[in-house]
Amino acid sequence: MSGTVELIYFISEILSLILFLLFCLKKSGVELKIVFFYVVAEFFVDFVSTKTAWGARSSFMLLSIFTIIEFVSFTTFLYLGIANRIIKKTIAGCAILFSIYLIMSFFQTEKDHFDAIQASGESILIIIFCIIYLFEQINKPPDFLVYSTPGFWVILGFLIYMSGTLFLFIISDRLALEERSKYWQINNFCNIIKNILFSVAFLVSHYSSKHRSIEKPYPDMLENPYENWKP
Amino acid sequence: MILLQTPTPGSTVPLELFFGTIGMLALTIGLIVFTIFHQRKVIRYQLRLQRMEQDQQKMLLNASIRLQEEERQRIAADLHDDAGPLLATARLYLNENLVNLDKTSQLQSIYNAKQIIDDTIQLIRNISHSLMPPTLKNFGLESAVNDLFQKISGSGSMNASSRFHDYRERLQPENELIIFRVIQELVNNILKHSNASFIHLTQNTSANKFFIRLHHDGRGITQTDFEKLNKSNVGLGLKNIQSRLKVLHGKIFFEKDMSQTYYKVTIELVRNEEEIFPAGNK
Repeated sequence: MSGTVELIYFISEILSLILFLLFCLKKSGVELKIVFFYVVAEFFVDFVSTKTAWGARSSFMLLSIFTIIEFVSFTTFLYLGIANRIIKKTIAGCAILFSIYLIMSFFQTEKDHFDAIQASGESILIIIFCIIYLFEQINKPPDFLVYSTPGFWVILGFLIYMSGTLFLFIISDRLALEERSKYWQINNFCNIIKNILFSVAFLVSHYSSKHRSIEKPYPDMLENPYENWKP
Repeated sequence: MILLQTPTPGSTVPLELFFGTIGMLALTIGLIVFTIFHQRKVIRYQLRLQRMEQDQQKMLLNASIRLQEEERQRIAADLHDDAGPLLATARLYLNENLVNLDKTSQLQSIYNAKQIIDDTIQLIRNISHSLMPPTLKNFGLESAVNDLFQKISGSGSMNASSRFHDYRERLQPENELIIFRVIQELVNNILKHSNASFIHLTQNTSANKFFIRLHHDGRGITQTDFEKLNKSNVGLGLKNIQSRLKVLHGKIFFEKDMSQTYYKVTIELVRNEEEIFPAGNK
């Protein structure tokens, strides 16, 4: 079963990459390019750690590097998506401090176990940032439905992935290697859902940019009738 | 099912993992569902507001069209009932002139025809002045309002006075006409319904705001009454005031004076610097 799940996971990664290259490469904004970069990094790390002997030996180191990339990508995406200046500054401050902590712990700790604290901390921070993002979306005057924006689907992907794997990361230190690889299927399931949601985001971005209308919902029937009038 | 497989007897790890993961996913899905439903609710509410605003606009538009039609009917009636018979009579006198060769009678009929034509000219001038007061066109809002108030005071039924504190520069002529029409409508309402003994108008400016205030001591309406009348099918004149002020992005407030003795109407307009002309200029 694990082989099938891993295969589906790889397919979901490739699917999101193909959809981005087909529909969003030329006209997407920086936000979606960051998501694309993240999926590429994820694909590369997964490929190296499962298909090469060096990768298999250094999988914990690769995971630590990937945690940093993931955190930086997600926070950058959220930073660009949030409009409120104070929240933006707060996110930037937290992100810089936590990134410094991640880099320092990367150099200071042995790479013989999974970085449970760092990954859990990252999950909690990203979940909080996502909730702030959604809170801002609620308070903004809605021009169009939230699910017609690609950002919403990306955030949904982040949230499902981070909340689904949070407890796995928290207890992964207490699991034996054999148990860990068994429960790691949860991570794969969440990754599949996340990649599918990213694919939806790329499709939504393509179709919304095609159909978005800037017309007023209804004409103002009392436009100035005296506009061209001279006494 | 992976989550429910216990690795070692007595271990609580899969249970923690199971409840933790399921709990987190449930919270996430709940949050997303809440966001979507909340936004849909807000959008529905906004659409309802837009529809209400649209209905209000329709009502104002209907009111202004009806008023325009009434105005046209009045002009048509004036021309048909007054100018028409006058000109027909003048024609009769001139016809008589062709038949009657008596010099004295001819002179008399020419004199009568001249008199009638003079009356017709005066009548047409009155109609024209009611459409566009020449004082307003030539000398501006202040003079036009003073003129109007002098006529009201001259009738002896009411004391009307006005004071313009800060009107050195005229507004755009079309804006002046709209304001004048609003004042006319308000004064007309006061004359018709309030049974007041005086009207006092003051004008002043503050920053880029232009204010006109009307006080009177008769029966009046408050802002709540105004809003009620605006939403109902009656109060055509008030709807017309509202639609005229909408063109200028202006506001109107109806209130009772602090002393509860007078009624006060305040018109507030935003003044654009590029739209002003020196007062008194043509």
